[in-house]
Amino acid sequence: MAILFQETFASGNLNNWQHQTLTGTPVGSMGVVNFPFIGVSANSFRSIASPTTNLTDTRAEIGKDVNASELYVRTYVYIAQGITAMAALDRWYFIELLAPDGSILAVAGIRKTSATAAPRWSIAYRHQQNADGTWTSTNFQGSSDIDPTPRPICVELRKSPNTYELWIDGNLEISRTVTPTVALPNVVHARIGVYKRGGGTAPDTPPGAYTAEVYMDEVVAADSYIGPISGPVLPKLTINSSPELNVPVYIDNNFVGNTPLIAEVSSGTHTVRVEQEVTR
Amino acid sequence: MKYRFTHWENGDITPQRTLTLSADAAVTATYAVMTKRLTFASTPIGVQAVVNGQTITAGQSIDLPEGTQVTIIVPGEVSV
Repeated sequence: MAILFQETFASGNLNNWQHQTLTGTPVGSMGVVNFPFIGVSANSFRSIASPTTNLTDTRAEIGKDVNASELYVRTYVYIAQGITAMAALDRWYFIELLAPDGSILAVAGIRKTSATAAPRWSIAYRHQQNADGTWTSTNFQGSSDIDPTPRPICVELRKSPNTYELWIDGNLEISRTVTPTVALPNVVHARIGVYKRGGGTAPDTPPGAYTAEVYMDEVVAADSYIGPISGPVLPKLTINSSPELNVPVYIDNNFVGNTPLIAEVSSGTHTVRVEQEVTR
Repeated sequence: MKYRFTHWENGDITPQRTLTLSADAAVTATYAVMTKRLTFASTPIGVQAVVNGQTITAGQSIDLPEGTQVTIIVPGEVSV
């Protein structure tokens, strides 16, 4: 597997990303935060519906340039807020793959089809070029209802020359094969974040009530299937000293290293001990 | 320089603590420089000395990091 790019947000900034998109009224927000649902840091994306107009396109996204006919993009997603406020026909897209002209080749996220239905995993994908050069796209929903309880979810979107796939937690949720008469263009730009499209809810009353708050981490783009992080995702314990003195640390009476350190530990109760005195 | 553990970020003051983890967590151990107190006395009283560049008067004390090499300068003659 050739990895095109990956990001754990450990650097604490978004300097590795070539594009940042914040659009909408009011505009959303994003930035690296200490929200350790997978690693120590994650990126926060907030997209807020307009208080005055119908929700159309509000985006809080980051992106990188690629050039691939076969592309997999995986990210862990933690939906902290907003699912229960979704209205019929609302869509939140978390991964976007763009064509050279800037139009969308494929998007993956969640979609709600009626006021009473639970949102489901969904993709929208380009599949046929029209006589006038434009392309026809289609929405397709998976079969799994989205539980609004926040949890880390592994989301992976594949675009190949004639196949689109959406993988959720390592399971193939959606697979669509297309037969375009004109070959689909390469993906030249991949985005993650929140791209909130809607049809049902507007205006946002009170402002901010219809906020999508999503965290993402462990982003990987590659030329073949990536899948979830292998093995259980163990909690990470970060141990620092103040001032930073490279203090020896023991977990459950085993020396694990010197501060600052990040140790993966099993869920449950552990003892953590640092040296009482150090000479530096 | 010697440092001694003082407390964790949650206020615990023993260097060993128990954590129950269900998600990622971060802890910080705070240390303080260990010091020794040097008290200067003189006969006759009231003589001034310079300890590592700092002037003190007999009867006063100065706290220095443990292990610090100390240079003390007292006057060769004093008027009383």
